[in-house]
Amino acid sequence: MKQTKRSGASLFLIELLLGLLVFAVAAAICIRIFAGAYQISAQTTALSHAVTIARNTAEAVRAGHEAPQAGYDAQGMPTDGDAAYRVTLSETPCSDGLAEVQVAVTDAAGNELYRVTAVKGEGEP
Amino acid sequence: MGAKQNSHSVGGVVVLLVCCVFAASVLLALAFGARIYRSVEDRTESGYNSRVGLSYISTKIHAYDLAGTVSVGDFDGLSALYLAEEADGERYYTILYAADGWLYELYCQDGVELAPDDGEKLLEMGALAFSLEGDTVRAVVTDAQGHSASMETFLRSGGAA
Repeated sequence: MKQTKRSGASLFLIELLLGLLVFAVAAAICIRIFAGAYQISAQTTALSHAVTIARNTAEAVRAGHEAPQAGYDAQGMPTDGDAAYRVTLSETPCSDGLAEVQVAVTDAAGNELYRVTAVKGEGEP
Repeated sequence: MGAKQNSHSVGGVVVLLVCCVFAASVLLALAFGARIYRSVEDRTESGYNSRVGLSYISTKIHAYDLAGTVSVGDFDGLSALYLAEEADGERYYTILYAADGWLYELYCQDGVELAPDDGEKLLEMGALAFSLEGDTVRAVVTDAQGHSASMETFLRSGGAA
């Protein structure tokens, strides 16, 4: 009887430990997925900012204005200090007196996030 | 006898300890997952609202882009964008503004006094500020977390009202 009680307690402990092990494996997988989701969310936010910045710059180019700003902070607002996003323009002359401008937005590490093409009159700023 | 009782006690404590560790691990994993989910959801919603709202405003400006039709002003203490049009000899305004966490659109005749609540809710949006410099309309939206997004639209008609 006592041996049954002791073996019952031991079995319960072993079962509990096994359950804890299975939970640990499942939790590790879930945490990895959560971290991946957070990273994807951050990338999506960066892409969203890049699209907005590129759009604003392309608008300025098409309207014949100077590009608004070369550097933008982490929220996509213009900044003269440390920039989380940078805009680079490359102009290619086309026919009919037009010029094609490539607006590229890169992150602080230099990775290109988004690129859009705008057309303006050749000779405009 | 005493040694056997001690071994029983130790075994019980170990079992209890393992149960507590299991319960704590479950709670930690749940809390971590909920926090991550909330963070992702807030980011997605904030980005969607500001991006779609600003795109809508930009499209509206382009649609009303005629000489003297676009202006920025104050609507009951709120920064507002006024888009004018003529119909049957009368002047009408489409007014875009943000109030109570929503982007509103109000269509009314010139001279009619209306309140911000009379507009139509379009989508959720934080504080919205318009500015007009020459032919550049700038809209800056700030959400509840303090994150800002801006959009610049250039008037092809050459100038504002």
